[in-house]
Amino acid sequence: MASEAPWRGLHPLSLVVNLIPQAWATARGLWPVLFALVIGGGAKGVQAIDLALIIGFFLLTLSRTLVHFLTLRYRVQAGRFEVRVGLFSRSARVLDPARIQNVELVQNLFHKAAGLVELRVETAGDASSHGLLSALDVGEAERLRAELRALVAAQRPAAAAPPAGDADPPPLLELNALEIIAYGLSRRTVGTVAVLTALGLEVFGRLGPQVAEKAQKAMTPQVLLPAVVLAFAGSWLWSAGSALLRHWRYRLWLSGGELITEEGLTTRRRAEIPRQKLQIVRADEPLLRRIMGYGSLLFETAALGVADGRLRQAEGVAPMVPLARLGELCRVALPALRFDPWQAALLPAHPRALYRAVLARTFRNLALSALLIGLFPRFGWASVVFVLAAPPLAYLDWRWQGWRLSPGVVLARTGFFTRSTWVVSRDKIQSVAVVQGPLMRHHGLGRVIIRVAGTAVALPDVGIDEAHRILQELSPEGA
Amino acid sequence: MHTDPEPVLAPAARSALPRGPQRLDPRVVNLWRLSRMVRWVTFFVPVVLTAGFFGRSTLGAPLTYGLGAGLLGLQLVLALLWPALEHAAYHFEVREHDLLVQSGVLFRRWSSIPLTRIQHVDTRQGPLERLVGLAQLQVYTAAGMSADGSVPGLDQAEAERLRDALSRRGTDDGV
Repeated sequence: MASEAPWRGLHPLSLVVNLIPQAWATARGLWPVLFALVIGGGAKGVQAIDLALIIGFFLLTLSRTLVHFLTLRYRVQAGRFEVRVGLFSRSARVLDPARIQNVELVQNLFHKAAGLVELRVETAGDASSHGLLSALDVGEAERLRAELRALVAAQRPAAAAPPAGDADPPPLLELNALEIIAYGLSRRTVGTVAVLTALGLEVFGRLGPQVAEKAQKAMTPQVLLPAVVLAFAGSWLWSAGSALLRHWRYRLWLSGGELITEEGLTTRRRAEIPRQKLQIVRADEPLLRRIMGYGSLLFETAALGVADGRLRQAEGVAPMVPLARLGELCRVALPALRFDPWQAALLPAHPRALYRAVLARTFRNLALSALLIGLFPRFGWASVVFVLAAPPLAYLDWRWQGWRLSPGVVLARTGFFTRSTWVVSRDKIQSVAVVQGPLMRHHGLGRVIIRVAGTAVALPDVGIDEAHRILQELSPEGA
Repeated sequence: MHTDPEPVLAPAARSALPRGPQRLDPRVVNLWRLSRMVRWVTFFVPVVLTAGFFGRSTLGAPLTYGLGAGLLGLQLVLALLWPALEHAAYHFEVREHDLLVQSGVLFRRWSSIPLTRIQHVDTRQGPLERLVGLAQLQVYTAAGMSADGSVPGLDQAEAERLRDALSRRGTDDGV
């Protein structure tokens, strides 16, 4: 029988090094109290309360630091990394080396002064190891990192080396300046306009009551309409400019199993995305872009990260893809996709899902309309048109929903105005769930949610029996 | 979803686990009742009393007291009854290739987490859980810890057995 490895702890100087991070963690948890302390009055009684709060804050920080030092223990036992921590609320973690994505050493100013280092053991989709092994002796951290790396290397096959030397193959997609400007124009701008309007109102409010009153009187339809048009025009110009900066001379090509994008005017950015790392390919077709004859493709991987010592941007975008080529590029990115999602017939959402869609959109628009009427009593009533438009809009959204399961992928499509299509490779699925709220139960509906690393996709609402069948088919037990 | 032709769990680990759908430890019902009662005393009572104090002049004393008592009574009844319903709705099962969790009274959820996708497994014990010897199992995949990856109300030894078994599986994490 193998002997038990001894538990190890943090360096005693962690009591000093961890004070600031623990104070920050405490401050984040107690921000309402600290906020009240900052804006509180200066009366004698209030000052006493403030003092008590400050003392309480420091005591809490000190006790957290002390508890972390006294209770954190770690070891490598039987080929697995084990960490336990906590006094009142105890946590014990067992980490299989095969799950470790990256082991890194981090040193802030306090670490450097004390000759210590933080060791972070990262797994995909989780950053909860940050701050755990927060202060180790450098030698001990190096030893532990080497031990963990050796365990990881023993469990993983060697990664394929990227091709080198040859010139880049011909691009799959290139964009000219006009297409990039069109992309900028077709991005959503309502949010920007809302923010600008809110800022404008805030400025008027601070100019004094007389100016605000004058401004309110000047807000006639003849002034307001051109102002809204100007706001949209400004927002579009901004959007087009930022698109040019980001996507200038955009190129996408495939090399050695990696999708590579290169783009940017002032900062040239090259993203290399191994196809086997792709979790989801998403196609966005907002109405305006669709009318222009284009859609966008997003290539999503598990996370941003460091690979082989280089910073790798794990997500790529093809901003303007002609509609006729969306299917082709999707299939290049995901070889498991054997059909064209824009040509193949998709299964529809359940007919009773339409009721839910109409109800949900009507309530949402009703709330928006009430807000607008409250904020702008003179013109807000015009927003009642949103409430009246809710049922036909919900129908259009419902009508264009679709889904399909194939041996290689799961496909889901939603929306009319902002249509999106998700293609998930089945071998990337992390978990599958069926959810059902009270209204859905009343209608006999269920929703399938598919989680992959970094994101989740919901299929359109289907009958609850169908949802359970899909769950069974996508679970490894049913495959 | 990717499957391994071979069973994911080693025979020794498999034999240590219960077979078929499992319910949570019945002690968790009283634990949940206790937590809800603590919340009732520390949150709902002060909030209702404060709202009543300020709302009395607007609504009038009888209506304010009636509404306040009604709300507190409803919360109290829910605190006593709801945990039993939650317990009845919660099931989990460790199958050959996945962990199946069913939960929820009003909002129901059925989840399947393939064992090969599990990144790591934690057991957690709050002060009240330690008082009654229970623990919570939290299962992490590369998708992050989700509500469906949590099994509360397990006997501590059972939770540790599950944690050790579930963190010993294959290497294809789909990332």
